[in-house]
Formats: sequence, structure tokens, C-alpha cells
Amino acid sequence: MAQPDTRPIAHPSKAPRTSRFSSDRLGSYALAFATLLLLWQFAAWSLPDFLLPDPLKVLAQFPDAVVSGSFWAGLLTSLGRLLTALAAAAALGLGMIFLGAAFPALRGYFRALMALLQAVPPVAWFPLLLLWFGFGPLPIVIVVTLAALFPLAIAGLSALEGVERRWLELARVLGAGRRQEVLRVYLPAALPAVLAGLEIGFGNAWRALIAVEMLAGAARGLGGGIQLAGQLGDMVTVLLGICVIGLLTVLLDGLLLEPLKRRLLAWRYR
Amino acid sequence: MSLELRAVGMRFGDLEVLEGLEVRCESGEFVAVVGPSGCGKSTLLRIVAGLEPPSSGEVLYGGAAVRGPGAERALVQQERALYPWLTLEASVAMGLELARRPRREARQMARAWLARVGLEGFEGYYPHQVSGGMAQRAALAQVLAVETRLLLLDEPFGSLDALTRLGLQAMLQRLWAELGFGAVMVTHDVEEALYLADRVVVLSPRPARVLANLRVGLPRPRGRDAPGFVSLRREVLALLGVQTEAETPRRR
Repeated sequence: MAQPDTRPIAHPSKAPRTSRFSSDRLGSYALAFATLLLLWQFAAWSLPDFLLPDPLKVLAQFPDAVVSGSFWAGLLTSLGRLLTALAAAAALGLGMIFLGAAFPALRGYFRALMALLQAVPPVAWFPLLLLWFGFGPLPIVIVVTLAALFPLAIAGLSALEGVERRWLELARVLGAGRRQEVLRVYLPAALPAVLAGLEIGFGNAWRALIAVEMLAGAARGLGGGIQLAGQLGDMVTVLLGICVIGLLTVLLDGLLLEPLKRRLLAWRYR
Repeated sequence: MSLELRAVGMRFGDLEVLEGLEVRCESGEFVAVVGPSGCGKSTLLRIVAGLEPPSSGEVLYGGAAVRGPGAERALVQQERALYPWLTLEASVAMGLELARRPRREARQMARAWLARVGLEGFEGYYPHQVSGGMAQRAALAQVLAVETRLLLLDEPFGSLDALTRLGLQAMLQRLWAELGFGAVMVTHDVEEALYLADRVVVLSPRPARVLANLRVGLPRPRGRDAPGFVSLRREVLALLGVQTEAETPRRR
């Protein structure tokens, strides 16, 4: 009997993509960036310099900033806090997701815990943490960790509950025990949601970091630098800080999160 | 090993789905189960697979009561019977790895099984990249690789186009003849049942009872237009309450 269906089938829409950014996406980004720059320029023309310096003036500061030590110190301080907090959030979140996969009874409990804690914006804990741990980096890192943790944990725990029954049954039919169900079904099934949660958590962490650095008073880190410059009326430095934060977010997303997603979710990108 | 259903009944709340089913299936025998849709055929397979316990009666496999799922009685579902995150090779290797085969050996065996179902060259593809027929071939390879002794097929070709279905039926028949596993196949395609099976069990509408247990004594491979085939088909369809053309009154 002929076997008519083994011919390779062409999926034009599913052709392997090799480039990190498709040119479409890059184009949209360029257009959006140009729009913002244009709006800024128009606003700068109608406002005096001490309220809003124009983009060229800020950009001209960029080379000076790059060679100054304090710029790098601030940048590295903030990045260090961000990455420490992200690592802590990932460890805590993945731990909860793993336990939730292994013990279904814990799933609802963890989710309730996260939902309750999420109701409070993490920055609100800052005064309390400051009192407990003093003016070191620890209160800042804890706030940022909380900001990244909630979306990650909630997305992952919800995904565990959405695992299709047939997938569990298939594993059992093939001879999987409880432990193997966790490793071979629950975790891979939850992975896309976990990474989406990580992406949202990353955005939250950035926002919380800058906010809490501005609150911290001590003029360290990017947020601290912006806060200090604002108090001195130095709008050029404020805007420079804003530009650096925006640029860093795009870079970290493109260089860290996107490749991670493409690597771990290879099956979705084929 | 033989399969024996003793007075198997199943109810979900007030809904009685199966009622006192008595079915026997000898070692290596191919049994097809046909019945009106919604009559509980899939439930029957899930009970035999050990995924659900029956409300009453018992299922014996090799003389022992079935207590849970296991690779010796492997179920293949109608569609999406593969993990979307595993390549075809990894899917077929999964059962072997669960049986503690070394990874390299499992992968090697998986490739051999894929070749056997006509999927050579597609080892690295993900399920969404191949056609429905190819995915079902891989699903078959996945359970055959764990040396299942009783293949439970829940309308495995039900969502495929007619031409693909014919190809897969022929392949299944060939593998069955070569490997000697037993099979219970639920289908709504009477021709498919008669083409493949040693016996056809006809179920009534819900609650399902056994209406008939027909031996298909035709030599293989069977021609679908042979007189014996056609008369058996008419008989099964009549049991299912379908009139065939020969009996339909002519319009004047």
C-alpha cells in the first residue's frame, strides 16, 4: 500500500527563523523611537531649557558621561542590584513552581500567598525594610526581588493547573511515576508561562529598582543619580538617566531574555 | 496475554454509560469496537488502559485485575497524542527512557522505530511541523517502542483524510502481523473495523451493551469490495441502525 502522507510538507509560515529580531520588529522599534524623539524635540522647542533641554543637548552629554567614573559606578550598582534580585526571584519562584508540581496541595497555597502579597506594591515595604536592615543594598534588593517574584510565581503556578489531563495520562501510559510526571510533563508544560512571567517580572523589577533607589535618598545607582540631579535642577542629567534606563531595558531584553526564550522554547520557534 | 471484561459497568453520577459488558480478547487478537457516537466506547478503552476504574465489574489482563495504567496496555488517542515540546525522536525515546534505558540507546531505538513507521528523516521535527497522519505514525511508534502487548486505539485515524487513513490502516495491519501484539480499536468506521479486526464488537446506544460479537473470518489482506466483506458491512450497519443503499426504497 502506498503511504501518501510521508512527503515533507511545506509550512511557509513555519520556516525556521534565524535572525534574533525580524526586520519587521526592528522597523517598528525604530519608528516608535523616532516618534518619541520627535515629540521630545517639539516639546523642547516650546519650553525653556531649564524645564526641558532638547535631545541634542542631552545626547551631547553622553560621551562625557561615558568617560566619567560616577556614571559607570551608578550603572553597575543598579545592574548588580537588578541581577541579584532577579536571581533571587528566579530561585524562589522556580522553587515554588517545582514544589507545586510535585505536591498539588501546595499549588493553591502558594498561589494564595503570592496573590495576597502581590496586592501590595513592593515599594511600600521599603520603610519597614529600611528600619530592619539599614541603608545597605539589602532593602533595595528585597523590594526588587518581590517585584520580580510575583508575576513569575503566579504565572508558573497557574500553568501547573492548566496542564492537560491527556499529557499526564500519556506519561502514565508510558510508565512514568510521580517524579517523572513532574520532570517530564509539569515542568516542560509550564515553561512557556514561566518565561512569560519572568519577562513581566523583569519589567516590574526595573521599575521597582529605580523607584526604590530614588526613595533611598543616598544618591547611588541610576535612580539615585536621577533623584539627585532633579534636586539640583539638572534636567540634562535627569533625561540622560531616563535614556540610559530605556536603552538598558531594550538591551537586556534583547540580549538576555529573548535568547533564553528561544533556546528553552525551541519547539515554539520552529 | 488475554484481556477479559467481566460485567463491566460505568456510571458518571446519574449517567449510566456502560452496562454489564462482557468482552474477551485473546492474546494477539485484533478486536474492533464499533457503536453509535457517545455510547461510551472511549470510556471502555480508558478503563482497560487503567486510567479509570470501572463502577462495577472487573477487568482482567493476563488473569490479574487491572489496577492502573502501564506500558503493556498502551493507549493511543485520536489526536494530539504527542507532547508539543518533544521532537518525534524524543517522543518515541521517552517511554524507553522511562524504562531506564540509557539515553543513547533509547535514541537509537527511537530512530529505528520511526524508520519502521515510515518517518525516516523526520526525527528532529516537532509534532506541529508534520501532518496529522505523520503525527499518528509517531504516536504508534511511541507505544510500540515500549513493547506494548495490548494496543488500545481510540479512533486513532478518526481525524485524518480518507487517503491517509487507508495508508495508516495498511501500516497498522503490517505491524500487527509482524509484532504479534493484541489490539482493541474503537472506531466509528465500519470498513476500518472489518478491514483490520479478527472480531468486531458492536455496542448499543448508551448505556452501552454488547449487541453482537462478529468473527471476521476473511483472509488478509482484505478487499473492501469482496462479497464477504460487503455482506458483513451490511450486517454491522444494520445492527447500528443504518440502512444501506440496497435496502433503501427506490424513488419512483
